[in-house]
Amino acid sequence: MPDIFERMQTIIADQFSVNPDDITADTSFEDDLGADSVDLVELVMSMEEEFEIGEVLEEELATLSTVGDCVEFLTNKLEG
Amino acid sequence: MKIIVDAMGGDHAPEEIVKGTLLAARKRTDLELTLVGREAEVERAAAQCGGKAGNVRIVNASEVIGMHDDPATAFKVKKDSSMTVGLNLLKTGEGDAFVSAGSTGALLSAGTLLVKRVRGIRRAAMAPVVPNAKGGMVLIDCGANAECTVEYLVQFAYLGSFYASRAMGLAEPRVGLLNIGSEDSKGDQLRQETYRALKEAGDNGHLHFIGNIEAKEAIKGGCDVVVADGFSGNIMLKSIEGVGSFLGRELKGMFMKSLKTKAAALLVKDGLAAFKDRLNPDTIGGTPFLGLQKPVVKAHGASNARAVENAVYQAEAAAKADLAAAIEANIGLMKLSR
Repeated sequence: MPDIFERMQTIIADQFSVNPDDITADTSFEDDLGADSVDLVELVMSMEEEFEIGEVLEEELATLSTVGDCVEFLTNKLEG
Repeated sequence: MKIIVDAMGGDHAPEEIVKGTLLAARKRTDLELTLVGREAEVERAAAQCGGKAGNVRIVNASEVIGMHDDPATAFKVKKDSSMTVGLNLLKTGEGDAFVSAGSTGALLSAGTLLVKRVRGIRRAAMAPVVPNAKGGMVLIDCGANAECTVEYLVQFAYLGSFYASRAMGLAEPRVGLLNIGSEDSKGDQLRQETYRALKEAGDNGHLHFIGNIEAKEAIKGGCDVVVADGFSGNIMLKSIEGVGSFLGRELKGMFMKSLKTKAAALLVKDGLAAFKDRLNPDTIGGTPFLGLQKPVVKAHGASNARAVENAVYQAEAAAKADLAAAIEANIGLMKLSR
């Protein structure tokens, strides 16, 4: 089973039409992928579906600016 | 072709929605139609108009998204609403297009986040075909995005052009940027920058951009696609509706004045009926949201059965046009800033 980072790479590559290998933990949604608020909501919905973590709250979404933030957030959710 | 219809959306749901869907089902037995909503109510409405046709199925959804629900979150809060269930059916491939007369904002949010945008598309836009002197023009956007960037407007130009070409059969749709004058330098910064980007696309042969266009020239048939931010586009649309209704009333008053004018009205009766029909929103039925991976058509809130029937046909046309494929093939041209 691919780890959280690899699964996030797949989701992000699909949504933003980028090469998965170009996505690192430091990749910023806004600065590197040009994401806006609608993109981030769509991404979070894909995360909710893929990782079955229930609904991500708006204040939680606000803390997710890089891929690394998402991986950390998901790790805590899945372990908690 | 499989069309999914939100049976509970709109002022006259479910009765008129069910009636309109059944009208389409009986006339077009090649269509497979799915009504989504509270099963008992939908069954009852179907029974009132002669029972369910063989090519219609009902999928139960216990909730309804109303006008008081928050449009941004309604589809998540009401997971078993007719709109959410219907869009999920579309997403999972159980239909080719979706029609709803429910809340525009909720449908836009739900369509964007459930059906999703074609990759690279920034915003879905509402693009009705509005009557003009040469038949009709695509007005994009007319209300989904009040605030726009240059990139949104450039993408709307391509979306409108693909739609006019694929759904209306125009070989080389003439694209105009709605502005307060036709000169290059007209308008605010957004219009000026968009003009430059569209001119470049036109010079490179990607679009048939004819420059800035004033609303009155567009109505006279000056272009086939009017590109606007949702705020200006909505004002243009409502102005056209208002003028149409005003003219209709004035004409009626004029013809009903005396016995002589009534006799004159009889002579032009057919022409008047055709004129009235052209301005009647029920004739068109709905407005597609362009830029989504699958067609989502918004029928107007006050839709009667005829409007719903026509919205079903429009959804079919949108699905046949396969706009998503055209967008995907050209997405490289449509991105400005990533």
